[in-house]
Amino acid sequence: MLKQYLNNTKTLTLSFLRNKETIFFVLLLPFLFMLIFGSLYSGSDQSQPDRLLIYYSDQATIEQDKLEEVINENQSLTFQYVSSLEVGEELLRNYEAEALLIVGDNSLEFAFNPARIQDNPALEQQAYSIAREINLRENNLNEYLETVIIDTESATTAPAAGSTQFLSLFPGLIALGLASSGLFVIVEVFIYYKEKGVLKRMAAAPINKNAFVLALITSRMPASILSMFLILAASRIIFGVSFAINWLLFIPYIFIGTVIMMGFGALITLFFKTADSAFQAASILLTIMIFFSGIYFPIEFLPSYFQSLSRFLPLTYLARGLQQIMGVSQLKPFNLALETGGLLILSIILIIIVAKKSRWAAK
Amino acid sequence: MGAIRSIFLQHLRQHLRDKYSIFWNLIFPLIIMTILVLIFGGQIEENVTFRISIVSPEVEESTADNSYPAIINTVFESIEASEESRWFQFYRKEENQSRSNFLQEERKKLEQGERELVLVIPEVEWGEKVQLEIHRQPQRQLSLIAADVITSIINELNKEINITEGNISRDELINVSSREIAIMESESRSDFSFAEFLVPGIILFSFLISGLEIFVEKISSMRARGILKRYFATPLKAVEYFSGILGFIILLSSTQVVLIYGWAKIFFDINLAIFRPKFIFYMLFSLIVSIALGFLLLSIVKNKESVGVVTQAVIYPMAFLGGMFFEVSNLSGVISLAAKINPMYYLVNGMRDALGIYPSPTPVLLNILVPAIWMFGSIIISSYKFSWNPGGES
Repeated sequence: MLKQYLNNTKTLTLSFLRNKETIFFVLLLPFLFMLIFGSLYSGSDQSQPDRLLIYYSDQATIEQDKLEEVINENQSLTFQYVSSLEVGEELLRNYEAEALLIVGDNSLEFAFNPARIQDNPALEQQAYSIAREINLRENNLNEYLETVIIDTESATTAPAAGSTQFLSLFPGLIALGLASSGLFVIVEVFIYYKEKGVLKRMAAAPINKNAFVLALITSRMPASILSMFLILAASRIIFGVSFAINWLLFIPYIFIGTVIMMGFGALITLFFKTADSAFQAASILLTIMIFFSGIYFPIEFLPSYFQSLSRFLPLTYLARGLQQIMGVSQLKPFNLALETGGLLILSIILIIIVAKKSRWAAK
Repeated sequence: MGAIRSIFLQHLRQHLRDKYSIFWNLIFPLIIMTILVLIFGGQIEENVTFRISIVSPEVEESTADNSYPAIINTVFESIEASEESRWFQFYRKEENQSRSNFLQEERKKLEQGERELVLVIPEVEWGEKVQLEIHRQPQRQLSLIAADVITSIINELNKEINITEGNISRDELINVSSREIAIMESESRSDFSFAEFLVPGIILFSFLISGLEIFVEKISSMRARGILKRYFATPLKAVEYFSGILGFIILLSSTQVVLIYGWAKIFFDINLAIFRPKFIFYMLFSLIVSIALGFLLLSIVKNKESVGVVTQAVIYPMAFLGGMFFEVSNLSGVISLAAKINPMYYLVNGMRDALGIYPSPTPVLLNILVPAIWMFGSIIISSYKFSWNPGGES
């Protein structure tokens, strides 16, 4: 049985890795998304200073030196003066600056471009902190109530540096690689292979079914591991991000995550009879999962009904688990064990049901 | 003409019979648009509630009025009683509960994601400086936003205390305000709508799919199975076949435009004049550019399996780096260059400008020139390399 298992694993792995579409969806697509979304999110991650335009109106009463002093203390900002309001607004519209500060008679007005939807909340906070500081200095105000921010940190892993949205992207993309690697395999083998008569021929040969199913599960692991290493290496080389990974949990989780997605694929197999419809259903579900599993947008920003939907998607738990294990969010061992263990058991049951239920010979 | 009609009807029937094609080509763009508008378009604000714990000192009732904690509590109580209360849910300790016990429990809830923030107010006398602790969870966006909101409230409170203490009069304070710039000054409507901003991008995305996926997939599939070779052994000419398939793509694209516009009009209350000649020109131009790119792909990649993969690998960067869904001006390095040579970037800028949604950040000449270079380049390369029957004698 061991020999059969090893031979089957080798054959299935090679067949999987020779498939160009597989390589694209498991390796290239997460990498492409990493380049695209990583660049978009790192752009708003204070890696480059925001550009502030300053327009001093004729009625301006605030001293230029004091204003410059405050802005210069804020290292995430660079500034330049504009000669008129129109010029400033035009530069904002053309995305050549992030904010415009209009200094008037004892007043500061900040103007923003409404199309910069992702950046504006952070810019507005920066603007108000500048205004507060100027108010304090200009009017010698007392700061009766001081605030000190205390971050709740993970007890077991050190969080990586950077914004949450940016950092969450990478575990999410590794989860996407696992999903692409695991989701289609059961459909491919138990419906497509059956339709093509491959299973029928295998049934005629002295092949142990259990060895074959085990080999099938193992065959997807090299692709999952390759995908994971590609994302980790690229995140470090291209974006300079490193993670406080708990490797003792991380490596087993890559295997477990792939099996969980195989289980989800097995569930699809139970509802669809033809390979084409099962593949399409898996593609549609994968696309839906990408949007609602918190890979690109935090789940808490979704409408409540989509948040409820996300609770039924395995990719949500995979992405969340990887975020914890990679130190992007706090590790909650009990929750992680419960969610992962539950999904793993369910997936194994589903894979066994499909393997037992599936006739190897076509009708 | 009869041949063109037959080819057109053949593709149309094939498409209508395939429910998955209908999903990907007609429904999927609507789903993407809905998701993006719901997330970024400010349509879900009513769903956000900040759960904030206020850990006050255990003050005696008699001294409460003279303390900062009492003032801070009064401010939060007034927020609770106001219209702003829908944004917040405040948690305070029970009467018989100790402060340290409450703080411990609430910090645990913050760690577990059941609170967005814990505000700890120390007990001090009037006139002394107070250091308020804002406990947040940096891994959660809502917690970060809650911390910003509470900091702003505290800053306002500081101003009020300074006025009460006679340090400054209200008139002397620097007046701080913020606003969004008017995007289209010449237009009657100046309010920015993300849904309107998105509509041309989604239309362009559909065209890109039509040209690079549907068109390419249909031809490569028939080419690989030798059907085209057999077609052209009959009196059917390549130009007739191409006209038939082009007619189908135009019909599909028109349906996509109607669906996208109708959906956005009904659900997101957009107000766009999509029949403006300039916009129609951009739509036609975009479709031609997409089909030309499709020919380029078919010319370079002959193998059917590879065509599918290359198509996907081209569509995603073109769509996301073309600014179809959100603006891409803050990109840097090689990715920025990829965005700048992307014809979709110029087309979507031109489309938004034509509809009066957003003035093009790129010159109008470039909005035509860059896609035109791609189009003519594709046509020239295709005229040398494209074959209806690669590997065969055609």
